[in-house]
Amino acid sequence: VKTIERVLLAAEDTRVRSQITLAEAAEAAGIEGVWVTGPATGHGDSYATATAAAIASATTDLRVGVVLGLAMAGDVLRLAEDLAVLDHCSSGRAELCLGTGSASQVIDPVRAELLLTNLRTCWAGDRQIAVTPGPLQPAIPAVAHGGPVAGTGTVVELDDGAGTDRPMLGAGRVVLYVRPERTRAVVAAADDRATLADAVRRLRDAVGATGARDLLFVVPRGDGEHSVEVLGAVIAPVLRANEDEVADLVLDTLKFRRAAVTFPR
Amino acid sequence: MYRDTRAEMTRAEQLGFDTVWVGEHHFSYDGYLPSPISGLAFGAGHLRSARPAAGVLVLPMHTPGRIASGIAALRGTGCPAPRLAFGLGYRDDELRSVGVDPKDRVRTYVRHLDELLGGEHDEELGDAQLWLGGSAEKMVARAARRGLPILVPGNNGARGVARAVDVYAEHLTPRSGVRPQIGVTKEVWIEDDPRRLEEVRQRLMSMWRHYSTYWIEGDDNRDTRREQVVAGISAKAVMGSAECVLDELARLVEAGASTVACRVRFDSTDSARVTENMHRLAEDVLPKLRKVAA
Repeated sequence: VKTIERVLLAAEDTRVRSQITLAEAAEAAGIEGVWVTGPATGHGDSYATATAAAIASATTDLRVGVVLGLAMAGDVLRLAEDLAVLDHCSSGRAELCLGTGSASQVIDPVRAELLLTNLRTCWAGDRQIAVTPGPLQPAIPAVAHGGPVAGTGTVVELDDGAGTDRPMLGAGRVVLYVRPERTRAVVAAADDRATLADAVRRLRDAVGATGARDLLFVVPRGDGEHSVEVLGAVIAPVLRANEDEVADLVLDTLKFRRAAVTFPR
Repeated sequence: MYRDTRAEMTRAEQLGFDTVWVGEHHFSYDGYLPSPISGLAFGAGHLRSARPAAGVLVLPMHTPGRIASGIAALRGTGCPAPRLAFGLGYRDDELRSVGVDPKDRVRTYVRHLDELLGGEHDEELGDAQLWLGGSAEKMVARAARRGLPILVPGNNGARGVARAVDVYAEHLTPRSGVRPQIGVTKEVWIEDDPRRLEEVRQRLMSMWRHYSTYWIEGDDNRDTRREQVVAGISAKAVMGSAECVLDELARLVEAGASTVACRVRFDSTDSARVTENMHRLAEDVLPKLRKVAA
């Protein structure tokens, strides 16, 4: 069974201070990245890269993804500038996730592809007006929620069938998205050996079925610190482990917590 | 460069400056700073007493919602209340890049401003201070009528500040919770060595040579006119010994400026020299200037 490469977090509580606190805790817990939203206004406008830049400032290694609804991405030039500045501030840690702005809607792949093409054109300096600075990374990694969109990774949601009924989703990186209520259940499972084993099996099955390399947990409101600690120390290492190591790791959660401290990353 | 800027913001606070300003530039040869609120947010979380400020932020280029969202993000870092001074923008290519016809820039500016002040973004704006930027009589009057502070650009000396004070007083409609005030930006450099001072002056002129390209229209005698503009603006910079700098800044304060935003980083200036300049300004000028202001 394929194992995941990265565990990512996003906060259900999108207040800026909460997202910064979550990011600091995530980095301390060995999580690989956070995805950042808003704050969006009643008009749907957002300056999400400002929150992301604040997080970049508070962390050193964490990947910082910006989640953007297509409706908020009307001004491509501004967005290209915002993302490029974020990429410089974060020393090349910026990522982009495109969605509809609504978890229940599937993204319009044509619009998403057009936006990404335009962004890359801005950065490539092919326009009459070049965006300066361009991004620090050769290309800012992008995924689309509910794709597939050419040239990006795809976000798929962990469902009750643990994703096993979903087909493989085209080329590009797949991010498996875990809603807050499921995250809460996964975190709660860490208290009990049997439920932890079951939760881990389901997640690993979903990873195997979708080919996901990243697993994104949305941390439920109010549970931030505890959830991050458990996800970082208990869940993430077992998801990254090879199949033959899982059973041993799950045998005793207490033992596992100790093992997680030195577990090879 | 952005990491340097963050370090400079923290250093400015440690040296006792009240506010740390950044400007907004697009499509610029030096690559700074097209996303000013993101840039500020990167540094603001480290500030405890100095307020982060953007001046000027080209208001027609940003929707009110985007600005409100950005301010909310800035405030979320826990920094002191941010300050934003809104400018009209002078580069047609910048305005056109976001679909604003340069002829409509004033209308767009006023529409965005009044939406920001209209109450629907109050939660995001919180305790942020909104200023207007400019020295044209209409802009000063516009700020005064809304009870907002005004930041006049560095091509104004003490006479220009005094003129703005008069216009401001004539049109002022006080706004609840806002202290009416006039600020001025100034290029400031303390240097005793004439040779080094001349180097800095040449660097400043080179910077203005670049930017003035955008507001000099027509081809007739373009280079000559540009050099005249560059010489005029550079002559307004406050440069020289600490005594000389103090004297000139004190005149601005005496003319009615309650805030002096000292521009200490010119394009391509060596960071060590910038740091040296900031230290001298903080140690040799700031304490005495505060006494003048008091």
